[in-house]
Amino acid sequence: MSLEYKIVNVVATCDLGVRINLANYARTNVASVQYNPDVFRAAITRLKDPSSTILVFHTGRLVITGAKTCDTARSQADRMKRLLKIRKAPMSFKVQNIVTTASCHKSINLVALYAQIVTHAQDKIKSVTYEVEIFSGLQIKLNQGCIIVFSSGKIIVTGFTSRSLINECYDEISSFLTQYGSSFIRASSIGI
Amino acid sequence: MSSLQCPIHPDANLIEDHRAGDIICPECGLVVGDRLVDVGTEWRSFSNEKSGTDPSRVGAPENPVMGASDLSTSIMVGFGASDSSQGLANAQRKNMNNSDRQMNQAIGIIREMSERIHLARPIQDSAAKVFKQILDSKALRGRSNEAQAAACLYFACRKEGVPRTFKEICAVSRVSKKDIGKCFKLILRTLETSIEQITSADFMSRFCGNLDLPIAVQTAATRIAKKAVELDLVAARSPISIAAAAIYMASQASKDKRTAKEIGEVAGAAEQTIKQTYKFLLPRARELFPPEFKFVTPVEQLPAS
Repeated sequence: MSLEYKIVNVVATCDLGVRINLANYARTNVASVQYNPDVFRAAITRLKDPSSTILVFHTGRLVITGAKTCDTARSQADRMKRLLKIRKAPMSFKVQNIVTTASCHKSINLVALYAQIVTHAQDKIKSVTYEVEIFSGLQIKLNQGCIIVFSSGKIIVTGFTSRSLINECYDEISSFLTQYGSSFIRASSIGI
Repeated sequence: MSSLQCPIHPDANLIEDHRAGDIICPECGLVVGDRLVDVGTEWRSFSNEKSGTDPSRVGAPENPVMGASDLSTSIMVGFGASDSSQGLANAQRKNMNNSDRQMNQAIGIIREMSERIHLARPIQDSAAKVFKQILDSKALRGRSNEAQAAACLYFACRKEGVPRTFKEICAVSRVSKKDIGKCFKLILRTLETSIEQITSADFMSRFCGNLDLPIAVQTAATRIAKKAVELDLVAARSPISIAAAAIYMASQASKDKRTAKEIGEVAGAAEQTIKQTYKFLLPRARELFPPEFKFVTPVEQLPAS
């Protein structure tokens, strides 16, 4: 069972290296920039095509969110550099988090899945939580990232910083599903 | 006591005479030991006695949960007391260990919460023990005492096999469900235990009791819930919603009908959730009911929502 995943969100930080006057910046770009210093000490820039949201701090650091790929995030950082009229190249760019979703297209019995994980996968994971009253998904915390499984079969993998780690994670999930899946995968497909 | 022996009959079992404070050999009547210290109570105090002070010189027994330094004797300061006795009371208060004070406070909170939902003493003690463990581990440092105590209580109920829903614990605590949930997850991680998942059956007797439903309806609802899970009709639903929907179905088929709203209030489930879960149960209603169930409203006439 191969799991195809889709990257839904990439969060990255960048340092442009120069101080920025946020008030001026906000004044010149009224349309797409929000700056309320008493609410939050950063200018919130919303770009379109590709769309993303960028927080600009007066130290010159940026937080880029909403990008759909890592390259988009990088290009948005360059775009901001031009928008802010900065000639220095961005100093550091680091992807902080990649959020991905996937589906195994079968409905899952989370109680049984929990039991299987507790017995078979304790060495690879940091912790597993399934509390129905608190959250309807089963949450697996790994050393670096986190996996959330819903009973519809949808899976969210988040917290990783590179594609290779994500691929590894999904491979692990696939192998676990094929190995132990019979005990927690429901024969009927989702129609709930 | 065991070192005492009658010199003539070393194998004889010696008898204690409490009235005279003697230990006597039954064979020959020799008094082997005398001046036996009576370890019973010195004074008995009755509630209707008008004496101002309680002459008893001992306090409550040592509580292992509270730590070894718990001496329940505390210096009481009367109204308009002299400075020296005030000073003594302050000194005792200052001397009290921080963790002991927190422990006392937590035990008080747990007792108060348990009183309101009528939890048995063993559960309260279990919750206090859990609290002591997490207090020692310092894992839940920043959390309020109330949140920690509520989470301990929830954990103790779950561990003893009589789970209470988070909403029930919320109802008797000042803390929000979110905070109790966070503390509970931390407790699980600290104690490194895993506990049983909740099932609908755990809540049946309590919910049905609160709704004044007869035992027949309760057994029917229990069976409906169990069968529904077996037949996999309610895949993604919380056991509490399933229980509530099962009670709705069972009560609607019997003489004592309850509305989804009433059940929702007792179970802590939303009315819409109950109705939606009920819709999943309805198609196979006939199989879900126990075979001996007496239908006042037959299956065909059960409400559609």
